[in-house]
Amino acid sequence: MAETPHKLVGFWRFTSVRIISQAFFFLLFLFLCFMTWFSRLGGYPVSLFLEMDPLVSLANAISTHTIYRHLSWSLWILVPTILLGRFFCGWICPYGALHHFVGWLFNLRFAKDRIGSNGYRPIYGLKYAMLVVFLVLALAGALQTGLLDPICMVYRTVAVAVAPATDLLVEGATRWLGDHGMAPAWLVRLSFSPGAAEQRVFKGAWFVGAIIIALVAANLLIPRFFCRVLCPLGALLGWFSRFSLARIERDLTRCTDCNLCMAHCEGASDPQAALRKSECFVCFNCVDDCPEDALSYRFAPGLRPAQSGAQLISKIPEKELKDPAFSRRKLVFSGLIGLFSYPFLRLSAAVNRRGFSDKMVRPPGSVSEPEFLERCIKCDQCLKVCPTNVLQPAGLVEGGFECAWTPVMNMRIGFCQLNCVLCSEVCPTGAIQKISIERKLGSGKHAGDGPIVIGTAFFDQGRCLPWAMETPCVVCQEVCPVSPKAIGTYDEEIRRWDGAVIVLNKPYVRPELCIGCGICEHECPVVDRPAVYVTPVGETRSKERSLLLKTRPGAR
Amino acid sequence: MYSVMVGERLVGQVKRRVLRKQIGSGEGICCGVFLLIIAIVALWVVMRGRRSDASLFASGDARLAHPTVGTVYKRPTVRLPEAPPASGAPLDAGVPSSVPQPALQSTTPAAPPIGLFPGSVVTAGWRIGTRFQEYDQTNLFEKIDGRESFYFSYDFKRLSCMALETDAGVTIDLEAFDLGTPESAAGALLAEHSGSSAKLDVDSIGLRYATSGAAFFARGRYYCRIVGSDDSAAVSAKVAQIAGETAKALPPAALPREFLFLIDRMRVPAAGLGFFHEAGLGFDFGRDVFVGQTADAELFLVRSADAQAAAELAKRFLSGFASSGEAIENPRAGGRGWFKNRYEESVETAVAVGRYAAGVRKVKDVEAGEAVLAKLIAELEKLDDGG
Amino acid sequence: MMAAEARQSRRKFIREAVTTAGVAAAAAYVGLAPEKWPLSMKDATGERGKPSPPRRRLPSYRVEPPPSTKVMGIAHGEDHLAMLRVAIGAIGGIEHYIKPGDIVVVKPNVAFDRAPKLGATTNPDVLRALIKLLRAAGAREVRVADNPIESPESCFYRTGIKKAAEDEGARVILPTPDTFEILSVPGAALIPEWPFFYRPFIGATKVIGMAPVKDHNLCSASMNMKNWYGLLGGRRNQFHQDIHTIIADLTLMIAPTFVVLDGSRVLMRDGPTGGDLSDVQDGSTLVASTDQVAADAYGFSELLQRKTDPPRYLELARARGLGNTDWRSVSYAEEQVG
Repeated sequence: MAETPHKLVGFWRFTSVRIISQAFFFLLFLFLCFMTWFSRLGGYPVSLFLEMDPLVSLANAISTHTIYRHLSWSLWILVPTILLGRFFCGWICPYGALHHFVGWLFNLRFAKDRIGSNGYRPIYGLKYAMLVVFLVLALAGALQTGLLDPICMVYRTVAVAVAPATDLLVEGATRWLGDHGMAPAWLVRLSFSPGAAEQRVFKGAWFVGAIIIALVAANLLIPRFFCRVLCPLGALLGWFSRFSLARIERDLTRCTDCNLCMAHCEGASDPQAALRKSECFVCFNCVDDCPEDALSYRFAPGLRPAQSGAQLISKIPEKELKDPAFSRRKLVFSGLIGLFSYPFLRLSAAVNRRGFSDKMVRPPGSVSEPEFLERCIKCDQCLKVCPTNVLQPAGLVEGGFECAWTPVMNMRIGFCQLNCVLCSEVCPTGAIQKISIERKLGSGKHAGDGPIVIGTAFFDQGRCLPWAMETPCVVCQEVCPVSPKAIGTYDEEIRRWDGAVIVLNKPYVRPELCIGCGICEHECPVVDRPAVYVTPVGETRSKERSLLLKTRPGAR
Repeated sequence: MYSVMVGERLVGQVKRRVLRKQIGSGEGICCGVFLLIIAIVALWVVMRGRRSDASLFASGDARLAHPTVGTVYKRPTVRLPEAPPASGAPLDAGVPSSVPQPALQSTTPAAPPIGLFPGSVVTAGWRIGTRFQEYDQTNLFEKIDGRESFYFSYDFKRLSCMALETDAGVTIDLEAFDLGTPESAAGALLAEHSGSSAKLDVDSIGLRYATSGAAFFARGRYYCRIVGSDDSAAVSAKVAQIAGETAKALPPAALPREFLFLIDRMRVPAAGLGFFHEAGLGFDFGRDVFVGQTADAELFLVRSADAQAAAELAKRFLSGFASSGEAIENPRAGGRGWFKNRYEESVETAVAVGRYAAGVRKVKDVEAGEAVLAKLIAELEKLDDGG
Repeated sequence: MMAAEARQSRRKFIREAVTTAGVAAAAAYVGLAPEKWPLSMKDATGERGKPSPPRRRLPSYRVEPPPSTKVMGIAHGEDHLAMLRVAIGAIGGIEHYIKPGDIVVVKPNVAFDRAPKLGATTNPDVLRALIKLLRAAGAREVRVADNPIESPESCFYRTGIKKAAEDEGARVILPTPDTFEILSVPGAALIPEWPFFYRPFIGATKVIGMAPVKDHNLCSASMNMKNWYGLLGGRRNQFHQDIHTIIADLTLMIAPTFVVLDGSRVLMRDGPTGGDLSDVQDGSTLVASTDQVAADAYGFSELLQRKTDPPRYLELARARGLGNTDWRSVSYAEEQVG
């Protein structure tokens, strides 16, 4: 930066610190994912990376006109970006670090081939199109940035695929080593969900896993494929970094046009030419790679007089490439795509009042469905923290494409634990509003509000053991957690087919008391299609799906 | 053989060659500053982690104090229409048996009982129209909407009922009210009988009377009403048969001794008897009051726990009488207060005899009253000795 | 030169031929050798390939009570430590049952994520008192284990059991998938072989049950015998189809050193989950017993104050010779403490 005394190259280079930074933030990210669990949560800002993701807060600000809770933390990224360039991509982004690391470790190429692979390609403009489409959609009220936002993707990948996979490995290793009498005590602590009675499973985990495998593998074809081609956050930061005061500078008098600077260029930002500021990740590899010391990183080079003899590229205005290589025509075209995508998404019956899916049971504290779709970024932090595994990423069945990967409750896999509001705690955008346990239960100072109802249980009498099969059961009544129980029984004495006289307790639902927690469905012994099941009708968050004319007891 | 693989590296080189030759001192400073920022971030995360939101993890005793949502009605167990096999498989426990099994004095043929009723009520030409059902306090109104308060005033426990019918559409309703005590059962029967001209019998069955097409009897703690849909002779005969069979099936019980006392000692006709579980003589403290109406007076007596309680109760009756009448000065009554009732042209008084509070009402004057009262006291003293 | 080259290529041929023959022979051996031969993988019937997880057995953890002591000790009061001392004293004293070096498994009821005051789970204060006694008697390790219905971590946390156990130096063992093994229970009607929360029992020498007294919607009452249900894994929600038999089976499955019936709070209705303070009554009673059937019978009639017939599982257990249903007929000592 400064021009004065020159030393020989040592450890204290930008690249060394960048690697430390990438490692630190990647490990911090893993650590926060690791802490996203009941016994570890404490007060950790587990959704920190989401809350400092400018795309999350910008898209939410556009769709809801508000900045929820900690989303203003994104200014910590946005403001430095304007000064320094797209440093987030090269220094902080855990998803970028993953791609960077994999490319560095496995993408073995000869120098000439590598220089070729790091040249700019027109397809790299695609990410700006994605960004425009997403932002226009957000303006209309359909938040889809989470599909490709790298932070959401990496959180989602850990929650749905990596964490359960780790648990599976840890459990297998513990069992195997335990059988041989040498399981170390710390091994089980590596589990992402310690104390979970069953291996956690997620619907469509294979698909989330396939995406990460495909995107990581793509690094071997095009380095930083995702970051260069698809990343809408990178596009946003790239657009902001057009204003950046600092940039990679090239001294034409020293440059021999050897192109070695391209050998490790992460962003394909053409440091050998005029530099595409919006593509540069500020990774400093080019500076290290220049055998002539022609490259340097300078703050506000335009304001300073050039050193005698130096001929700086930034002083040649016609070679300045500030803006993304994304023409206005493409901008308008992308905007139109976004504009038309909105009705195409919303015309799917499943996200509308009339075609609402009976499987779309949202976690307690969720805002009403249209608002929910304005807020949810599909980061699946709620899935990660849910202790019972009931929260599942929605597939196409529940709510169509627009709801993909948003949280829905699958009571066959888990149930909503009565005294738990962890999902509302970790949600970064307020799709699940932060609620207290008092609010959820309708007790304490919320006694007048009644409990939060997420759905209503129904009996399938054709599959219920006492109703249909002359067999005693009523596990559902036993586990019903509300008091008085929302499941009662009609007791009837019958003479069974074999002549024995038995009493059947035939269960029924008291809808005014049912909160839809689904523990009855989860514990029902008719496991494949439970004889009692919860659907969202009667949920507190929606008047359109209310069930009972009268308010429930305790509610105002 | 596999020479292609020879010498190929699995991963990229770990240490990268730096080609540049020089470095500015500013770069080192910036590096240091950045490492400091990282350290601050790490510190901040750790500090924040330590500060957990207590409300998330509290066991929350504070929130336990929320109002209860009232009681939940528990529908009684629907029993099999026939009784379970006497020594067969036991019922699945967990639900207490709610039907008291009557001790059948069984000379009846093998027909299994239908709940409380003997199987022999179903004879040729008749079949079960409404299956055996039971009602308790919480749902009695479903069966007899509007009249339930009458039975509640007689300590209603349970109604067992069914109906028989013929092909011609004639029906007979069988109702057996379990009123807890023989007194209440008799009281309910007597209350419903009062004003009727039907002859009231007292015999080994208990209290009973019949009208055309209907029969009523009280046996033990059951008050049974057998009511046909018409008053033909055939139906009346069938009703009488049902009443007889049902009465035999119910556990025997002697008439309460107070009734026997009123009939045998005080010469009260059966139709003049009465019993009030609540609100006897129109007083809220008048609980379990026996009444006997003779030609010229009305006797009443209440059994108390002991003599003192009886004396207090008698005082309350007197003050009750005082509130609806005026005291009569009468030195011959030996300090006993007589009151002239304001609404009826009669006098009334109350006394305590042993464990009984008793009294005479509706007599025309004090002289007649004293005569009846003297006899009542004399007989009661004998009765109380026996008790 | 030609000769050398020929020799070279002959050697190469021989080397390759031997390699090929060796691989072929090894494959033939592994696939065709009779099943008993070492390294044979042959499986003619398909039986060998089926998984056969090891079957575990539980030893009896009973300790013969000292002669002429009571079968059941009942203590009323509020000071749990003193009450427990009195109750256990009546059945022979803690030192008789726990020897220095013992590894003791304590099985409280932590089935639900409920505040302790709601009476749906074992009172942590009573657990604390028991662990104190166990440690004082010289137990090397006290393990507290249960397989709750709701999420294990939060159940242990919010019921206060985790804190109580860890404060007193006991170890909480949570049920994770790798902690279950198949348990054989010879003579059991429903669970001759069933997944069992086995990890806490590895190396354990004594087992103590510690159940709260609760109403139960299906089997009328849940106390010590039903408490062992919390050690089962697998599809345990099927057992409600024959709840009384399974509870009798549970009593057969495990022979504890003794049991402690935690009647400090009694869940009178809406069990076994409760959830409302009005469902809970103070019982102010602790019972220690070497006969868990008698203890449950006591709890049913005296703590739950039920006048009806006792639950059928008591009778089933008695019929199998596992205890006495008439608690008044066994020797017991009853004392008011404090």
